[in-house]
Formats: sequence, structure tokens, C-alpha cells
Amino acid sequence: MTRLLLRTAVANLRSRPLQTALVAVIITAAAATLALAISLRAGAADPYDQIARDTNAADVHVFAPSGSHVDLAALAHAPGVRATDGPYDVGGTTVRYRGSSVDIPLQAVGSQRPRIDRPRVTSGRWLSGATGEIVLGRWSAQENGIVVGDRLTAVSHGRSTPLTVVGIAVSVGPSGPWVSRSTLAAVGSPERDQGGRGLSIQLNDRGAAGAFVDGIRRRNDQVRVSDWRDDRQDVTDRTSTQTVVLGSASLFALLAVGFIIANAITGRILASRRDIGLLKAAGFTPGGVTALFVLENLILALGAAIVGTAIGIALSPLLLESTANLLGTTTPSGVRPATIALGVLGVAAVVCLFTALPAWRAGRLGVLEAIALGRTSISTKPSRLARAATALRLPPSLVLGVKDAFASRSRAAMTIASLALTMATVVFALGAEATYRRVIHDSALRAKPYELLVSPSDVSTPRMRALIAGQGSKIAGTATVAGTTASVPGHTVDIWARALGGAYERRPYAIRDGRMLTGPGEAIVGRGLLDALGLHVGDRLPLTVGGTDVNLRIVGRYIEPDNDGMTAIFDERSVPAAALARFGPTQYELQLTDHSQSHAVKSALLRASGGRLDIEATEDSIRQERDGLRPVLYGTEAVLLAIGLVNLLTTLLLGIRERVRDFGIFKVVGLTPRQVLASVTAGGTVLAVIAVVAGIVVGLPIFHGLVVLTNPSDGPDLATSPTWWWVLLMLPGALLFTTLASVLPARRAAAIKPAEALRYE
Amino acid sequence: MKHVLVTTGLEKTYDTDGVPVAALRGVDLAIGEGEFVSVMGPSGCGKSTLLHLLGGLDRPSQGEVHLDGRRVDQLSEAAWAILRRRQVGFVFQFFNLIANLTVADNVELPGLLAGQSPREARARRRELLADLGIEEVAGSVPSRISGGQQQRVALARALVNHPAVLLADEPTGNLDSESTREVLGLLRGHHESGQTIVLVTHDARVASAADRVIHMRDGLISEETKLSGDRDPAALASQLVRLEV
Repeated sequence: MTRLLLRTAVANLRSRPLQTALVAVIITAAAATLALAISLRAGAADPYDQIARDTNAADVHVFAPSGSHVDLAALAHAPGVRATDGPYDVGGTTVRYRGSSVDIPLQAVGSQRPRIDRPRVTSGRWLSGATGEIVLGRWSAQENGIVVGDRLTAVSHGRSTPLTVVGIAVSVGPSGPWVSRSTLAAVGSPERDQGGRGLSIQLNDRGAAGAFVDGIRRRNDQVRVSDWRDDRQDVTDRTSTQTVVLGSASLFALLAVGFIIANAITGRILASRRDIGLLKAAGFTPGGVTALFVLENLILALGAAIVGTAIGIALSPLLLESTANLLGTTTPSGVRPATIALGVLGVAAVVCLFTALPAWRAGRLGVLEAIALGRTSISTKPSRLARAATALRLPPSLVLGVKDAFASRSRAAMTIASLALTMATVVFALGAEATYRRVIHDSALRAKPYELLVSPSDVSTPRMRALIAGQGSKIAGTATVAGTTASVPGHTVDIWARALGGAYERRPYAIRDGRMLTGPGEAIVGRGLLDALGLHVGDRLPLTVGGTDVNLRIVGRYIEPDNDGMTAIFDERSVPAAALARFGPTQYELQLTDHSQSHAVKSALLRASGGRLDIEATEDSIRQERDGLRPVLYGTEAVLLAIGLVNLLTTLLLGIRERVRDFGIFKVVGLTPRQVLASVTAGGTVLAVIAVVAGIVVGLPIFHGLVVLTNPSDGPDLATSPTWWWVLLMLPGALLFTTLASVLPARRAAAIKPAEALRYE
Repeated sequence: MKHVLVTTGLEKTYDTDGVPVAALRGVDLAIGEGEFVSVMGPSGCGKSTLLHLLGGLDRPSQGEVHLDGRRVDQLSEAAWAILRRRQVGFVFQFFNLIANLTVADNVELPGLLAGQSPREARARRRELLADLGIEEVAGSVPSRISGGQQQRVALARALVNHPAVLLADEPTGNLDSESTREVLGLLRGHHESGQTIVLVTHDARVASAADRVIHMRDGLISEETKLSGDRDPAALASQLVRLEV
């Protein structure tokens, strides 16, 4: 029996080579997408864990500033410590690059990478030990546009030391950039209080890191200690948007794959009803028919899934490299047993399911009924759309096309559903673009209500003020900001506090509840803080900040995408000057009269300061994030659209195959080949247009939902629907898409010879 | 008599897996205006092929076809489609109605294609369905009506544009005797009102409805029988059967 089934299945596949080839192409493409999506999801999942694993990350980082006389080496013997690396020297210096300058701590290391917090070199090489080489951290290199081979200048006490970037490396935590000990010595003694010694610690139980850190802090208030949770927060903050977008894109891809396979296979079975009738006439039972079709499609699916998975794995570096680049992780290998198994078995399971159901239903049809129909069940009522097409007095060939598109309601519904899903992904991509565009235009939505953020480094405050004044009316207002961590008495949470000075009220943060702060004693906070502490706008917020206690009134909630919204912003006059001195360095938030001038003003300030300022244009970082995501987003999009195209093509071809006789009759009653062509294209177009509309209707809430998932606190305020003309453009896009998909089926239909078709009884 | 359809030296050879198979081997035929001609012959004698060539559904390998005095065998497929809308009506054994269109849509389609307004097409369809006694099934799809009704719908569709010639390929081959009688009655009725009809059948009783019967064998016309107006169907049929044997 098995032998008979196998022979019949192979014969069936051979008897319809084009249809078999097309379904094989769909399954291959779907399996390739599935393999890509699985790899993408694996690659985008928890980037911190990946980087930490790659770099043998420390659980705790301890930094003892120069002159603090802390015995770091003794910590190696503290209870709970499994391993340490260091202590190593850290020297603070100002590095200049292409006219801008930045204060960075340099970590002195040997020609071997450190054992713990072992940076993973992503481009270039590790230090050779020679003087004058530097390996930069990936994030700072990316933010400053520095690449391997660039020359930097380290300035310390007026002495300049040239540094060549020999590598870019990824690590977590406060480590890097890395230089050799001889380079650090050549750069000279550290300026201000950035110098000191650092130690990386791994604990037996990293869950005990909090208690370990508290213990160190209690014993010595001079050291700066951070643990893996801070590092994870840092990585998550940097990558949260990317992770969710990548996760959503891959989820879309998985759904689309399921739908597309279901559509292609179900269509194939429905188109074989006549054969099913004949098989039953020859003695096949309904179970035998089901087994035959499952076997037939499984042979096809397994072959196609293996080829598709191989293609997906071969293509994965293209997509995964940019993902890894975005997240700072190693490019995940596509060749994982899990990917291969999931790809092949997943496709096989979907194929079995969507073969068995329609085959079983078709197998239960009466023999004569199946033979007489010889096609999928035909709807006995013209669709509303067909009636509308008639009422609109469209040419008869177009009306016929519209009616044909809905001749089998179930197939039409499945085709629309799978195309709508593809279109929903287009809406998702357009929504992401629109949201980025809005945030770039209004950076307050990123808690950056200014165009330029200036870190003055070694520029004095009066000089800084003079530089700003020198820009005249181009600068509409200047606020100052200094940040530090703060705690809330009675709570274990750490929050990030920012003290504002200057004309901060001129350009308010994006307030969603309450109002912007107007003076000392008031604070605006992120939603994360309100939720964590169970507070509301109007409540009091007690804080321990800069070593002093303050009690602020929460007057508003603002959009804060970073730090999970665990933030508080207040007037600097709310804390004593001594406490403010313990905050991080003061930065200047410049609000420009014309925000399109940010790069011009940045250059002018750099020129005027002799390159001594570190200036960040807020829109640049957002653009960078968007540009990083685009290849992945559009790569997935292109794959899904290509599958959608083949899917529509197959649907139309299957429709034509089972309706050869009808096309013959069309010609008998006087349809010219061109009219047959128009009729098929019209049918495809109607399906695609409905799918576009459904895709928009479904895609918009999905997009909003995913943005809320990315950023539960502020997502609803940030998610921006695509502009209407982009949405409108999807219609001509769909027409082009349909025309492409219809070319082959329409030509086949137009080429049908009526005399031959009518012999097809 | 004016000839509506004329063929000279009509040949058709099919290529079956590289083997040439001659279906027609030189058919000379002239069908007069208003004439009712039956083409009889055993299976595979080429009668359906002849009908397809007369209606432009297939191209001859050799020979000429003239319709209403115009040579048509060299027309393009599109030109044939346009010509068929007004000049040729087809009826088939398996009705060949478009399954997902209603009866009304099926009948109106050729009229709409020929340039009638929807109102005109609707009026003509009502008139024809009423003539054929099936106006009550206008809103049904073909699969929901009987074989006899389906063939009447097919007849209505073929006649909707007042074609110069009606080509019927075994129109009663799939009908019970009652429906066969009805359909033949309808054909005769239209013939009496001047419709030219070419009917292909292997059934002598059906063929006897015609004025002239052409017998085919092995792709050639083997015999022609003119039937008198004074008909005794049983006698005519037995005469035709004798000729076939």
C-alpha cells in the first residue's frame, strides 16, 4: 500500500510540473524566511547575555579614583569572589578628533586582552604593545564616527600625544578604551579626577552582586562600584528599540510563512478535487486520499524545506551581520541544529496540517460530485464586489475578473489574509519610519528638548558662556544639565536624577500628565518611576541625591525612553551647591532658533572653541539608530514581499488551471486574448487591493501595539501612524505588485486554446 | 442560395507526441443561409474538429473557411473572438456555461461583449429566456438547474447576438429523451425563423431534425442526404442509420 501511495504521489507531482515547481518555490522561500526569522530572533534575544558571554564579562566593576588609597587587590580574596582581573591603571584624558574633543578614561592593558571583560574586537586588531595605539569601544566609536585607522590626539596638561585607532571592540560595563601601559605613560598623568585603578570581579553567584556592591560601598565611600545589572541596563537601553523591531519583524515573517504555505498547499488540494473523485472511483478510501496527498506534499515540502533552510542559512549573514552590528553582538551562526530542525520540521508540520484538513474534506465528497465539480467549491452567489463592478458598468472582462477572484471564497479569503499580512509588515515599516521622522523633528519625545548637547571638557564656564553668546540669535535658549544616580529612602530602586539650570522652561520636555517644572522644589518624572514607587503627579518625591536628602513635588510626567522611565528632573536650585558638586559634569543643552541649523552651529562652536568641545547633535543619534535598523527592516520586508508575489502568482495559476474550461468558454463567447489578460489581472488586483486595505486596518493597531510593547510607558505617545500619502502610495504599489504577479498566469490564460480547453471534460 | 459558410480543401492534422494524426483530410462544404445541416459520423471521424474550424476555435492545417463571403481562416485569434461575438453562436454537449456566473450573467455576457448596454443586454436576455421557457432560473447558477435547462441557457447565450450561424456540437448528447425533444424543438423553431444551424451528432434521430445530413468518415465527407420537408422521424432515422452502416 505504501509503495502504491508513493508511486501515485510521485506520478501526481510529475504530472503538473509547473504547479509543483511553483509550490516548491513557495515552500523553499518560506523555509528560507523561516530559517532567517529563527536566526534573527535568536540573534536579537537578550543582547546583553550574548555580549557578556562573548566577553567573559565581570559581575562587578570597582573603580578607585587616584588618591583614594583603597586596596583593590584585597577584594580578590573577599567571600563570594570567584575570579578577578586587575587592578589596572585608568588615566583620564581629553581626546581630540576632527575638531571635536571628548573626555575619556583610558584603560591600560597588556598586549593580551584582559581575561575578564575580554573585549571582542569587531574590526581591526588588538593592541600590539607598541606606544601610540588605541582600541576604542564600539559605542563611542560609533557615536563619534571613528573607524580603524583614524588618528586621534590625546591632550593632557597641554601636551599632545598622537594615537592611532588600531581596533574597535565590544565589551559591557565601564571598561575601555584600551591602550598599552607605555601609551598611558606617554599620554601623561590624568587630568581632573578621572584617573585611578580599576578591578573586574566575577562572583560565585552573580545574583549576590547587589549585596556584594552594598558591602563595598559601606566600607568605602570613595570607590565607584557598578554591577552586571547596570551593564545590562546600559546595553538594554541602547538596544531596546532594535530588539523589539527585530523581534516583531521576525514574528511577522513567521506568521507570513505559515499563512503562505497554508494558502499554497490548500489551493493545491482544492485544485485536485477532480483527481480525488477519480481516485475514489478507483477504490481509494477518504483516509487513503488524505494519506496520498499528505505524502505527495510531504515529499515536495521536505525537499523544498531542506533547500530553503540551506538558502536561509547561507543568506543569514547578510541580515544577521547588520543585526549583530546594531546590537554589538557576534554574528550568530545560522548553522545551528535548532535552526535546521525547526526550519525543516516546522515547514513539514505546517504542510501536513494544511494538506490533511482540505484533503480529508475533499476525500469525503461523493465521487460524482468531485468529478463533476472538478474544482474547488464554487460560490453560488456573486460577491458584493462583483455586483458593484457590474453596477459600475465596468467593461465585461473586468467584471468577469472580479467575479472570478471570488469564485472560490475560501481561497480568496486565504489569499487576501496572507497578502494582508505582508501589507501589514509594510505598514509596520512605514510606521517605524514615520515615528523616527517625528522624533527626529521633535527631539523632546526622546527627552532631549534641545538640538545640541555640549560637554565643555576643560572649557571654563565663563568661556563657555562667551562661546554660546558668540552664536547670537541662532541660539534661542540654553539650559544646563548635570546628572547622577539617586535613591529613594525606603526603596531599593536607583533612579537617574538630572538637575537643570538656565532657561530650561523655554523648551519643555514632552509632558504627558501635569505640567513642566517651573522652579526649585518641583520635579518631573518618567512613568517608570511613578509605577515603581506607586506615586502620582501631585505627590511628594523624597530623594537622596549627591549625599543630601531633598523632598520634591512631582508636577508632571514626561516621555523618557531611557532608563525604563526611572528618572527625575528638577531645578538645580532644589539641591544645595555642595550636593550639586557631586553630580557629573555639567553639560549645556542648546535650543536653536532654527533646528535645521544644528550642524552649522555645531561646526561654528567647534571652530570658535578650537575643537575643545564635545558636541552631540541630538538628531544624529536618532538617525543613526534608524539607519542601523533600516537594512534589517527592509531586508525582511523584501523577502516577505517576494514570497507574497510568488504566493499571488501561484494562487492565480492554480485558479487558471482549474478553470481552463471557463477560459475556453470566455473565448468562445468572444473574449479576445487581451480581454482574458485584463480579466485575470483584474481578479488579482481586486484581491491585492482588498489585502492592502485589510493590511492597513490590521497593520496600524499591530504597529501601535508593538511600539507600546517596546516602550510601555511612553509608547502610546510616540507611535506615529504613517503619513497618509505613504499609505495611499501602497495602492499603486499593490497594482504594480499584482501586475507583476499576474503576468505569467494571465499570459497562460490568454494562450488557452478553446478547442483544447473544451475537450477538458 | 447565398452561402453563409464555405470550406474548401479543409485539412487538420494534430501532432500527437510527434506522430501526425489527420483529423480532417480535405473537406469541401457549403452551408446556405437559413439552412439546417447535421454532420453525422462515428466517434473520431472529425465532425467536432470541423465544427471547431468553422467557428474559429482552432486553425486548419490546410484549406480555406469563408464566413458570409469573407475568408476567415487566416484571422488572428482576437479578430476571430470579435467575429464570433456577432456572427457565430456555439452550443456544446456539456453546456459549457460559466459555473460561477448566474444564468442571467451567462446569457448577457456575449451581448455586453458585443457592445450592448447593460439595459439592452438585460432586455434581450429576458426575451430569450422567456422564449425558451426558463425565465424563472435567471438568478440561479448553472449547477442548480437541470441539464435540459442548462442546454436551453446555452442556446439562449448562443443566440443572444442573432448570429449568422449557430454551431451545435452534440447538443443533446448529455440530455434525457424528454429534454432532447425539447431542445430539438427549439432548434427547429429557430431554424424556421431563419437561423442557419450546423449540428454535429452521432444520433440519427437528432440528425433527422435537419434539412440536410452530411456523413463523415475518417476525416472526409462520405455522403450527403437531403431530407424532405415531409418528415416521418422514425423513417428518416432508419434511413440515416442505414447510411451510417
